[in-house]
Amino acid sequence: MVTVRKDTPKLFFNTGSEDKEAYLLIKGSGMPCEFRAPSLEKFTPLLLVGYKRYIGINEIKAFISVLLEERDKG
Amino acid sequence: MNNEHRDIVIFTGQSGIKHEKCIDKLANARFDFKLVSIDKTISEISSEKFIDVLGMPPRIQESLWTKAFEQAKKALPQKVETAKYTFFTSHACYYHQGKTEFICPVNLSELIQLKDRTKMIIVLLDDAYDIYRRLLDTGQMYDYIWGLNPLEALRHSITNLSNILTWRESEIAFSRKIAQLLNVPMYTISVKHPAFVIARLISVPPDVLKILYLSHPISSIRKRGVYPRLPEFYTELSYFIRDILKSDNTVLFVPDTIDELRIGEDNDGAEYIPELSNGWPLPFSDQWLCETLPQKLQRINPLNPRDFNFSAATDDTKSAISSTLRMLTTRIIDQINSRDRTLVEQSKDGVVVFRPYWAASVPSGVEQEMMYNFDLRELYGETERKTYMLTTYEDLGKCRINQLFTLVEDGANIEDKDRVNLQELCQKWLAEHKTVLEFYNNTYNPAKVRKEIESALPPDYEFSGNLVSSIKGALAGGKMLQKAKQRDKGWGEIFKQLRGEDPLSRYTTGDCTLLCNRAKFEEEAKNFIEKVVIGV
Repeated sequence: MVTVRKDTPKLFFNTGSEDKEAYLLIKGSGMPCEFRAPSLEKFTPLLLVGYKRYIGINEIKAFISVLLEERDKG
Repeated sequence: MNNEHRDIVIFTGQSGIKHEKCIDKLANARFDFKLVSIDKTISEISSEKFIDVLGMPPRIQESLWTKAFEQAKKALPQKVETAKYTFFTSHACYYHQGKTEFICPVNLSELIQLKDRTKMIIVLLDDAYDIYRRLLDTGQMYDYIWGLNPLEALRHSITNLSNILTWRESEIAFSRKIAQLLNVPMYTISVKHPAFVIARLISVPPDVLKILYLSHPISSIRKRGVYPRLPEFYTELSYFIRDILKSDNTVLFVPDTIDELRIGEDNDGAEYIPELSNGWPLPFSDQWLCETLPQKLQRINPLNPRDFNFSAATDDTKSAISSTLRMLTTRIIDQINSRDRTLVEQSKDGVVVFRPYWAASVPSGVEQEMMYNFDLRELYGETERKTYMLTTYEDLGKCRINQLFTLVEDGANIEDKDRVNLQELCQKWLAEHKTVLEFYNNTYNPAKVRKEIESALPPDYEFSGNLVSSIKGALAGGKMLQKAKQRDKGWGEIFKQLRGEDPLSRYTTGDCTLLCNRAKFEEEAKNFIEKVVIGV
């Protein structure tokens, strides 16, 4: 049966200020996540959710806030 | 579909590729071919230069295409003969010069007549920068740039490069539709592959031919300041590619053959500047399908062809240029993602992953490519696909050491001066072979590791509340005890993350993985390629 990838998000990050913020934000949110560090990619932090990519702290924050909102709604 | 007796290959690709010159490079292949250029025939029929045809109304362009195709069909041999081919070349997509829109001139109801003889569609690709350089030449579509002032030329060039990227996407999309109509495979191939790879793709019977994609870390290798031993990587990778291509029945798609993510940045990386860093060195450059760019075109900076004095520009101008370059970079990243996945799709035998942890980090691009290949096999029924991974104990051990220090740096509230101490300790451990192996096989002593790292941290360090808040259990007791418990929880969390599996191994199977000592890697890799990957 054809299905789609639904696995744990992965955060690629390094030691920059945005990387640290993203790492701690996700740890604090309680969202299950696999942490890939260090990542020496051109653009980090990068959050991979299936094949969807969230690049930079602003995109990651937006993703987490929507996630938390949905979680709060139950 | 029986591909053995099909004698037509359709080559598409956007303007600036110079199909005919590329196909000339196939002259040394072990088969005969006749080249039929639809675009050249259109010029002959219309008695106009092809660039002028691109300004005619679409209806006329479509009509000319149909007439040219009818004429081209007459050149087809009546009988299909083994080892003889007819190569049709045509742009699948025109960029209309007057309307500035993309148009597909191909008459599908005519083209379908070739269905039973067509073997495959090959979409030729090249770096947007090289395409643009060719199209800046006299008499080409962007030669107007030379009449603009330097700043205008720069602005137009960024827009033109963005259009070239869109054009390439359209060319691929239209070609894909043609391939679907003819029920044949479509391959997107950079013209910076050696000509013999394309010859193999065309002539080796599909049941014998192995088609693989090469996956390896790219961005991390480019961080030159951090990893100055770059030539070592290039050299090793070059030999690796040559070893795989030694088999006459193997095709290897190399992603670096399109190398566009190299727009310059200023010293602190905050702003983009209109300069390109050097491209990725590739093997077989004397055998590439493309014609070498003339020196006068090679010298052109495609982002700034008229040498606008950027360093003397006002801050506002610099900022505006940086913003447009940022948008171009985003387009390039999106295309890398789509192109690499297309390359994985067309590599029916799977992906070969070369030393993913070479830079002691986890490359997201490699993981995404492995993940996609895994999904094509596991979710979408392409069961013949494999993921071969070749790596060393040392690469993985070093990656874990780096991971440990990254987690400590990001998890603890420390100052920049303390980071220096941590980085020094990290470098020391990376240089100790015994320590590296201990991290590879998880035999390090956590208490000892913690103690040594704590000696590099300030005495009053703390872990962030976010790091330890997810851990259940109240931090009871006095202030000192709370602090000690908080640290224990922080370290517990870090070691838990560190002891996880090799993150990429989940996408492979045991018999497709080579994991060995660095000292033996070249020799072992050679054997592995011969016995497992290409199966000599």
